[in-house]
Amino acid sequence: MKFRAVLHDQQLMREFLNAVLTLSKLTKECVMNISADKLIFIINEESSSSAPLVWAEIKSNIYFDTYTMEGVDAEHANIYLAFNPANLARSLAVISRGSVTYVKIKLTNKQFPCLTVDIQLPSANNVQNRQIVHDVPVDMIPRRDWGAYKMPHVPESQIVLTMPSLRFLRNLIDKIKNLSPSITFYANTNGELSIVAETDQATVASHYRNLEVKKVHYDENSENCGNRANTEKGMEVACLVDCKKTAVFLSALQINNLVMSCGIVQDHLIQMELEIRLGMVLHCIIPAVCV
Amino acid sequence: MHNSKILYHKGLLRNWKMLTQSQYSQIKFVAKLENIKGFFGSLKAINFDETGTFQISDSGVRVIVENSKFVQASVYVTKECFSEYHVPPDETIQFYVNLNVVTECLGIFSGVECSMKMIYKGAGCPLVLVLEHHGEDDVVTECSIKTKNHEEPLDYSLDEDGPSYNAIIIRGPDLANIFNEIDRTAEELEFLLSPKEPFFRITTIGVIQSETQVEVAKTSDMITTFRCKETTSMRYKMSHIKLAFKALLLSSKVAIRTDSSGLLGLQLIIQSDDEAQIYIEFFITPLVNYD
Repeated sequence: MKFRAVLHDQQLMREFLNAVLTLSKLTKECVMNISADKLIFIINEESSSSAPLVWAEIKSNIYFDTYTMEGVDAEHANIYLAFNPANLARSLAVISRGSVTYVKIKLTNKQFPCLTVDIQLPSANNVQNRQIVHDVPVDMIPRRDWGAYKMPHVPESQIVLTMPSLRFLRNLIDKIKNLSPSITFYANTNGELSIVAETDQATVASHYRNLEVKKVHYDENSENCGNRANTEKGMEVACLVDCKKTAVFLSALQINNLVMSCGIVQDHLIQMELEIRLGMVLHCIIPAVCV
Repeated sequence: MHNSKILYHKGLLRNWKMLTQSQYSQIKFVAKLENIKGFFGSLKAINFDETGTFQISDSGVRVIVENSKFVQASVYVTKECFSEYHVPPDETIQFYVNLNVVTECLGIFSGVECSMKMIYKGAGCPLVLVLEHHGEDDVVTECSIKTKNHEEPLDYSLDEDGPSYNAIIIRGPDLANIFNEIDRTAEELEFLLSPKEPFFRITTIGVIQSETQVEVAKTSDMITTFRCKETTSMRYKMSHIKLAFKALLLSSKVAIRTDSSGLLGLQLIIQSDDEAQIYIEFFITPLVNYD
């Protein structure tokens, strides 16, 4: 098994660090799935009780300058590793502090398997360059357990909206979290989004208007949409989710000023998607709760 | 709650009572604040108990919080602060709410400037707050907060014509500084007001009889008005005085008043940019039987 990835661009490095930081805020153990064309970080829902299902997908050919990998064999061309994202974030932290010549990430075997992070810092005269090497211990996941880390099957969202500013939404959900354990997301094809919480003490409803509707998916076979189904006026969907989970995801995000889209599948789940740049996407699925 | 009523018909909200009071043809109280910052800050400063009483009259809105009859704090917002203000003449509206819920709701846009409309229809109806943010996002938040029948708050008053009625007005930031310097771990605190030296003295008495004293001369810059006829000295529990600290940080001027009964009245004028002013008033009962 082999894995080696190199980054030269400062901006990309910083984004990579931010993605890892976001993961480290959500969980103590995340799984990295290395395949020929993609690098996927997965946080399994069961690994920590409050975190939602989150995964980050990085397209190797677009993102990395050099990317080589060799799987177990031709048939199973993947590598699955488990590690603590906080360790990786700490080894990458130097990126945020100044200019870096390159970042190399390698899979090595030093008595036990490690992800070796090799960072070079330039010096003023370009002679005494500094080299920082960190070894992040990882656990190899045996092939029989791979099935547990398969990409989740995501049903197509009936409506996908561009979300209002992230800072705003984070605050809103953070406050509602103290009032109510669950919230309802409601969206329609007119670009209206309502976030509603109801308790015996208070009813709080936030209404956004004029949001961009990114996608509408008419599901003709579906009957469970009931009276809220495809009407001539347009379509609307709603989903009740756990407030804490949503808040955990939003407050973990280390990436600001980015456009987030939110897809809703009627009574099933909401999925949030952050496209950090072409080739790097962060997904989050928050399942519906029953009342 | 006209935006939220739609959601009721879609089955997303269940508590119809919180959304409408169709049995009342007329709204009793409507008021609009263009910027909630001052009101929100003051309310947070006195939110040391869960329940608060709203007293709405012709001249303004008062929110009263009590701590087991030892301390009473109230925020008073004059009618002039509101851009719109309607109450039936010669009538005082009173109701009880969970103040934690109110502050949580007001904080939903935390930090961002927003306007607030308050609506109350009558006994048994919820207090409706409509928060509107004016900015890039077109967003309205409607909060409907359950109210309860009021329990008459205690009426504290000082004997202003009595011979031992003393009052001084001191600059808020300076008084806050004094309180920052004194021993906050002390058990008791003594206020002394006198027409002769030491004029104004704050003494703290700690558990092992440790003492700190701060004296402010009558001629000090921080005192703007000094009206003392007789020496009064009374002790208060530090934990009671502490409840006023948060409010003190917001104030521009503080009137310290006391009379022969020893009841301490603190009147704070909250700093604000415009003419309209918000007041916070504290009444703190003294400790009895000390030698």
